[in-house]
Amino acid sequence: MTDALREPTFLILTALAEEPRHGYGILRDVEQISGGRVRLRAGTLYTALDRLTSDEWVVVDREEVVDGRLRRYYRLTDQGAARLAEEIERVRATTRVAETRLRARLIGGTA
Amino acid sequence: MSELEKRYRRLLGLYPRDHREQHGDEMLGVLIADAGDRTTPGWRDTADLLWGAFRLHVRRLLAADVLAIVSLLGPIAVLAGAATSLHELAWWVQAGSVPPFRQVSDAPVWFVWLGVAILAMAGKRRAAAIGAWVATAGLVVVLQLPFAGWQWFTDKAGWVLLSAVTAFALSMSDGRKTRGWPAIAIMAATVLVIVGLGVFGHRDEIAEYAALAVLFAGAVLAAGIRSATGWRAALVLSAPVATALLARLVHAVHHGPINDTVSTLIFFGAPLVFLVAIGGLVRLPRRMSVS
Repeated sequence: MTDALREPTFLILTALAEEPRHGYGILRDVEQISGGRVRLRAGTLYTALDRLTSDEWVVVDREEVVDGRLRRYYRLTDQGAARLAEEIERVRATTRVAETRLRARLIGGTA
Repeated sequence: MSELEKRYRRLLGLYPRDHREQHGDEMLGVLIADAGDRTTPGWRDTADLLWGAFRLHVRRLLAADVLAIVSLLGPIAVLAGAATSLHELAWWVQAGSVPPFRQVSDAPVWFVWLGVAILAMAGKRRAAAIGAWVATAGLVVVLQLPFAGWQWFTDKAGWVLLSAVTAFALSMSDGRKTRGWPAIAIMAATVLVIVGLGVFGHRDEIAEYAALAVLFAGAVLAAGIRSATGWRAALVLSAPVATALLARLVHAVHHGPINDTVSTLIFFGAPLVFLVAIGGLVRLPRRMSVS
């Protein structure tokens, strides 16, 4: 059984699941996905990308030069997508149990 | 160049060299885009960048390949720490007697390390890891013995540090194939030379410095001079060199006893920070390519 993904990793993979994004695009998308609750910073993002690229969950899709600066787009690999799907299933299973127990509690009227 | 960019560049300069070369410009662009109207980096960004740099340095130093080399060569390198004990033993044997335990109180630890080295070479990693932790705990006990001559604030701390790092490497390494018998032979020969210098050149300053130089050179040759991984493993194996030089520096500027907490920070914390920092200067081949 694989370990649960940390939240920043989960959110980065989710941001890349839609389309390839550059670093700043990932930061903004993570903020949006989390409803403004999680605001990643560059240090955290690139530490995570270092791990994700070495694990081959994410690869560089393309590079652009914008206003004289390098902009690198990252893309989710099939391996990364599979890991994200696995994590979603894990969270879903836990949520299902929580939901069932909460419903039982409400029906039973236990304090 | 704006003040903001200058400050961010300074912070990014703390990242490992390969990461800086690969992502430095890109990160700078993200940081500036994210800065908004700020003219200097905020404290949260600064803390985040410092923490990120530290994590990447540690990740590189403790990469699986580095741990694999240290787990193979570390148990042999540690044996060089037995030089003082062997000198005592040789002195008492020459005098036609048996040394009292207090003169060689660390001897049992070296026998355990010898066993660990044999187990590691035989590929029995789990048993070797257990033995390495036992031996490391043994060295910590020896450090507590008032008559043993092993104190936190001497160069002996380096052997404890190398013991702990080797035990960690044996526990964490995935047992991948590493440099084989030639590397083991070089490391073993290095240990023999250091022990020889320790036994015949006891308390001779030139011999002591020569032993440190031999340990560093032997570690570099054994771990592999041609790869960044080899250099990083060699730096880990040379931890006693860093501590010994630090001990000489501290004793040159400070006379008298040192508080235990301070000495622990100096003799264990400083070499670790040094290793992390130097390890980050080693250039790694590009891992990422545009697909």
